Amino acid sequence: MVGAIEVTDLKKHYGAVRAVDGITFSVAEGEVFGLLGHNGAGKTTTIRMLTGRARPTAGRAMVAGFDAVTDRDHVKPLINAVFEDPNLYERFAGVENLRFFATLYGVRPSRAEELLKLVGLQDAAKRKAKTYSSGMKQRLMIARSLINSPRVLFLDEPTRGLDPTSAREVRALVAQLAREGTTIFLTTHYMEEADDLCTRVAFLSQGKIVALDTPRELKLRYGQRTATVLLRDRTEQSLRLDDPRDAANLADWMRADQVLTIHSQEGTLEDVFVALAGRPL
Amino acid sequence: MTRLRIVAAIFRKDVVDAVRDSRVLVSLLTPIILAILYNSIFPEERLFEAKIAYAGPPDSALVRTLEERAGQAVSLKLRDADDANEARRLVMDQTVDAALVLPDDFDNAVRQGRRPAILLIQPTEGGSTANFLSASVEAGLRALSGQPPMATVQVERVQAGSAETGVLGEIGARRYFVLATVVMMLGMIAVLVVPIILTEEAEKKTLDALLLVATYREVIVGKALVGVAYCAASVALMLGLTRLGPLDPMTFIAGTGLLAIALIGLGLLLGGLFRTAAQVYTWSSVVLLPVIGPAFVAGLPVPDALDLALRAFPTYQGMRIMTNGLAGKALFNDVWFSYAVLLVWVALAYGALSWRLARRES
Repeated sequence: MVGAIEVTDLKKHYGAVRAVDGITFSVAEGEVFGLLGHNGAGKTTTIRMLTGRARPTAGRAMVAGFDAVTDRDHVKPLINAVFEDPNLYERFAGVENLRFFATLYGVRPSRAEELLKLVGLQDAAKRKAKTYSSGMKQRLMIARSLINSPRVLFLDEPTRGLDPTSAREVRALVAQLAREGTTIFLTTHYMEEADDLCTRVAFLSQGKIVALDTPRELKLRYGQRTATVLLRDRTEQSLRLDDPRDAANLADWMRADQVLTIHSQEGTLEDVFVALAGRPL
Repeated sequence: MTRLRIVAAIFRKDVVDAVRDSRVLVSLLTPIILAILYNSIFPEERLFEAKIAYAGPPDSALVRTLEERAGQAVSLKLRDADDANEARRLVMDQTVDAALVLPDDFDNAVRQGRRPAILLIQPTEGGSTANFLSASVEAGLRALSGQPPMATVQVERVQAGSAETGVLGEIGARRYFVLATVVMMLGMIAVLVVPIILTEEAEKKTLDALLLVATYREVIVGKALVGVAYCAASVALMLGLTRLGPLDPMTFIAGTGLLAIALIGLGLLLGGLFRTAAQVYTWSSVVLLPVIGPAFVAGLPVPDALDLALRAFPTYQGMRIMTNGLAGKALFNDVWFSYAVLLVWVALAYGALSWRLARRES
């Protein structure tokens, strides 16, 4: 079965700069795929190539079964995207923004009202977009990206710059779309977000994919397995689960009934990233 | 392939959105205000107003002759009078400048050689209207009786200094400067409004969302149509507000349309050079000067060298065609060259635009 996205040895060079340097991956239908990396790692360039906004220097990208470069006209109705920066028509009301794109995609105008309801903006439908808060703008952009019921949705840093409440609302919306079967290609700086939402993640460093797997597998492979033990004397001890000396210490404390609590600590994606890229995000 | 649905949607969106932008509004209003100003500060260019009372058959050819001779130069105001007494009273109390009284069946009587009596009532001191009336009646009578002209008049036009020296005098300062502000309006729309709406799309990154569904070519065509629509509406509005009616509408529309298309092409190219709409606005004066300036001097006497240089400018040539269209006669004799220059500008602007679009799309 053909995946929603099939990328083979994709490259984008700007002169001597190798923004994307031979990446290969595939995203299955209905999957939430995360592309993580530092600023300048090549995430946005990858999205630009997959959405037909930039021509690859080499390699191939198939999106929704069509070549993203040569079959752009076939790809366009099947995809949509939410961009890193708010890009709404600010002098237009929320509903006018959506109706405009409904006309462009040739879908019925009433879809605008449906989507405003979906993202919880029905009460602000007639307000100009420039009066929206950051979170409202982000939700409106997500609504806009759903106007053509895309098979593949690209989300470029969808929660960047949002307050925790707004970010949580946006994540809930993305999770809902994923449950409904939309294939989502997500780039983010936020490791917890990727951990929560993504079925698989790829780490991009200097234009190359340095790791690709499920968050759990990556954490197990690259994260440190540790536990924090609280003893009766109220001191905390951090133990490495793969260290025989720490295992012996734990056994001694248990026998002496010194242990009050034990908290196992799974590695985080942040740890994975540090292990792979040598520096935190 | 350009999809009409998408172009139409972008066009409708921009027509509504652009006028909500204060910069666009100022760009549109400035020339309109200037045109109204010129319209009110320069006097009506007719030579004089002739108020004539008329008592006689309503369909007399003599009255038609009067109206024809008045033409553009004389503002003829005919007032009906019941009879000679009322006509006389109107002259005496200075309601009219002179009066013409014809007997019933006047035209037939003249044709049959019955020598009907005509009464011309004038103030003692005469005046321009009285002279105009006397001369017109004499000419009208000759035409009515079927007499051939007593001599053949051959008109020879000779070039004295610059051929265009007399354009301002021919159409009058009011018409000339209002027409120049019409060209100014085209310039403002094409090289200010159009680049602003294009640049703002890139600056606000709405272009990214637009290009997910549209091609860059469709976006450009949509913006160009907005420019054309604004030009058409603004020119109609300005002509209406200033009561300027082109006597040769086809020439006027051809000149205006061709100039607008050429300038919009240049504006779309300019839009690609700036990163922000604020930059377009800031640099607009530098861009607008060579665009608008030539229109204002196209009908003025200028040194030959300057005239030669200005002939390369689209607004200079557009103004010449539009002036002929407005006057209804060839005040500028070589407008084929003006059309050619405008067509070259259209070809250059849209050729460069197509080349850039092809590069962008690939």
